[in-house]
Amino acid sequence: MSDKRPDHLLDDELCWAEGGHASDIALTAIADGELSIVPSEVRAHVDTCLTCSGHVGNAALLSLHAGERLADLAPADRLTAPERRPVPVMAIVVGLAVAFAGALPTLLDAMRSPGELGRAIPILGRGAALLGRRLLDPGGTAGLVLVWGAALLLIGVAIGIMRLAPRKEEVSS
Amino acid sequence: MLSALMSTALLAGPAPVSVPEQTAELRPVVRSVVACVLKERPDHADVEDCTNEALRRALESQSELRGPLRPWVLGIARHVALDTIRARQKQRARTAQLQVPEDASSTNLLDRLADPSEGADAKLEQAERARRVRRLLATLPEGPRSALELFHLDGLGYQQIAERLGVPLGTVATWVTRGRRAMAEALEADERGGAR
Ligand SMILES: [Zn+2]
Repeated sequence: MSDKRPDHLLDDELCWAEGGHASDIALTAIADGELSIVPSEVRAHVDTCLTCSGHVGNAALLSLHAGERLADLAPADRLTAPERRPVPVMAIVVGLAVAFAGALPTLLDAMRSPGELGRAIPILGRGAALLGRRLLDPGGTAGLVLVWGAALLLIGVAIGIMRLAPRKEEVSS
Repeated sequence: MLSALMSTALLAGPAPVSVPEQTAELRPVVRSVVACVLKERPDHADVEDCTNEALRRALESQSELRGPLRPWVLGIARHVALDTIRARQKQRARTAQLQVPEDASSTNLLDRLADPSEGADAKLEQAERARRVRRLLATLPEGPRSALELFHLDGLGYQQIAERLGVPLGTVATWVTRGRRAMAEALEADERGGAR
């Protein structure tokens, strides 16, 4: 029983223990839901063997316990860097391309009449300076609106994070 | 038109399995967990009752699910089985007409297993547990420790862990099994030492 299995399956020698029962390794894999890596004969045995299915329960409880203990740790305690989602490069490139295509007519117009662009820049500059003065004015409404708006935005983001963050298991009895 | 729709459906891949379907697939392992906690055979009537109850509660409260489904459902199964043990203990005490207080040590252990985050000083307990786990993780070899972190904290499967760490699948399975066992034994020894 030591023939080499395909790479996506556990080898026989890892799957069987003494007495014809499944090994701890196979039982742990089954308890973890890794059924696709356990050879079908081993799974068939576990399904019909009371001893092995009892041990699957043990392995599942051990897994549950280990997961709960590890979840207590701070991220800084980790040895391996957390798995990060890959940066969606393709989506960013497509987004930029669409934005560029959308802006293209305006850019072409602006390039055809550079004088207009030259006049627009000082107007935009004066507008930005005026907005800055209004916002920084201590008794001004604009500043007040900005402060309250920012506070509301922060509260909204905080509520969003609280709802999205994984919670500890809550079971109502 | 129809072929275009079909090819779009094929490109989209298999339809995602719903939470109720995934929960139903967990029935065998839920039954094993319940049998293990109750210390009964998997075909015992109480095991079947608890399994049904655990799956029913999981489906009923699926909106509370945060994170992976499997440990969440197994946690519910453990909770339901421990409730049954407590009910049995009370029933036995009533039948014997004894007003003996429940065995404090076993009740505490059951409570800890049922919900480790309960209690007034839960934060302190959690910090203490984290300190212990940190200490014992430092004693584990790098392979098992990384495999456990990637499995439990990042939710990676064995195959993904094997690719990430550049080792064969069998090595990952061995690391997870031995690492978990070593962790449980060390924590138990530590708790026994701390209780003394
Ligand atoms: Zn067996």
